[in-house]
Amino acid sequence: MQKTWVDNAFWTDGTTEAKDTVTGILEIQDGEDGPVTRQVLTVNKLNPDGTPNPDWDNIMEQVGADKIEANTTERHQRKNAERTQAHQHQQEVAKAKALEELFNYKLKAFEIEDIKNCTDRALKAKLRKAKNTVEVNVYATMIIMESLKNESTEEESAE
Amino acid sequence: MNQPKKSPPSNGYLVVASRSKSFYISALNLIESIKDHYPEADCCLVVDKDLTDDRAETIPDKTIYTELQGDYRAKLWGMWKTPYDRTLYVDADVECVHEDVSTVFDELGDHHMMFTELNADRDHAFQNRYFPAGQFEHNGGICLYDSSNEKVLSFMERWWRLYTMQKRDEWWPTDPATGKWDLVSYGDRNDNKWWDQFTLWYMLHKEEEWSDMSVGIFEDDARWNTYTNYNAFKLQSKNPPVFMHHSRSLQKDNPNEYQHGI
Repeated sequence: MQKTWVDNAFWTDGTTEAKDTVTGILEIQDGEDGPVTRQVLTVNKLNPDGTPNPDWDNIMEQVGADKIEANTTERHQRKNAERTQAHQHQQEVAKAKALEELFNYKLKAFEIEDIKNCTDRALKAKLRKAKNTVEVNVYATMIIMESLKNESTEEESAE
Repeated sequence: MNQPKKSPPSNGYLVVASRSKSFYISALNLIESIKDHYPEADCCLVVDKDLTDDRAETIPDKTIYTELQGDYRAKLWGMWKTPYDRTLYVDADVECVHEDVSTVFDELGDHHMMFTELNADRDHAFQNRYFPAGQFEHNGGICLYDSSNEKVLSFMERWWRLYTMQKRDEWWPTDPATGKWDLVSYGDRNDNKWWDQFTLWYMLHKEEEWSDMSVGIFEDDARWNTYTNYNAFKLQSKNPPVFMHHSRSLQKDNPNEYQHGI
C-alpha cells in the first residue's frame, strides 16, 4: 500500500504562526493498478500522550515545512481574495435589487394623480433621474406642491 | 388612434406594452426618459387599448393599438407594424439614461438588424440559453432594424407568425429523417417554446430565405442594454450605459400565466 501526501498541505490554523498542526491530503493506493483513495487529514506534531506522531514525520519528509509555509501564505491570500470578491458580488447584487426596487418605486410615484398630470417636464425628468427614494419623495412633493399652487391660482382667478 | 405617418427617411423608437398595466406604465416612462435625453426623438407606442388612458395619445408621438388580446410577445407584432423607416425597438421595462440615445441609428450601418449579444461571459446573468443544436445568440431586449427594407419587414412578420405557432404548439422544428417534431436537438420544448429568441435562432440558422440577412452586434453593446445586475458580474460597458434594463422589476415570465393559454 502506497501512501503519498499531496504537496498542497498547509498549517491548519490558516497562518504561519502556529506550526504544530498540518492539514493535508493523503493519497492511498493499494497496488500499482489499484484505486486511489484521497483523504483530508489533520496531523498533529505529537500524539495525545506526548509521543512523536509518525504521520507528522511522514508529511514533513514528503512535503516539507518550507512548502507548507508557502502553501499557507498562498492559501491565506487566496481565501482573503475570495472573501473580498464574494462580499463585493453580494454588495453588487444588493445594489441591483435596490435599483429594481427604486425603478418600481418611481413608477408608483408616476401614477399619483398630480404627478401623472404634471406638465413640467423638467421636474418630472428630475424625479425620473432620482438616485434614491428620498430624492424621489422630494421631487414628488415638489410636483404635488406645484399642482396645489396651480389649483389655488386657478381658484383665485375664478373668484 | 394617432395615425402613424410614414415619411421616409424616418427614425423612431418603438415601445410595446401588452397584457399588463405595469408594462404600459413602464413603457410611458421609457418614452419620457428617451425624450428627457433626446427631446426630438420620435416615439411610437404599440399597446393593448384596454391598458391605456389619456397618456397613450399624449406622451408618444404615435400610437398603434394592437389587434391582439393580451399577447405575451406582442413586441414581435409591434416590430412588424413599425411606422418608421429605421426602428429601434426597446423593451418596455427599460429606461433611457444617456443622451447618446440620439446617435443609435448611426450604429446600423449596412446591417439589416442589430442586437446586443448573449455570450458565455453573460451566461450567469441570464437564463439557460443552450440546447443540443445551438444556443441563443441575440438578446431581444433591444433591436435596431432597417424597417424600410421589405425583406426585413417580412422577416419581422415571419418572426411573429412562427413564434405564435411555436407557443401554440402548432409548430416545432422537425427531424428530417422522420418528419416529426425533433424533441431531442432543440432542448426542452416546454421551456424553449416560450422564447422568441428560439424562433429568431431557428429562422437565422435553419431557414434558407434569411441567409442573406446581415445581423450585427452593437459596438460596446452592453451600453445599449445594460442590465441592473451587470455590475455584479463585472459586465460593465466601456462607455456609459444608454439604456438600463430593469428586467426583474415587472411581473412577467410567470409560468402560471402560460397555463391559461396565450
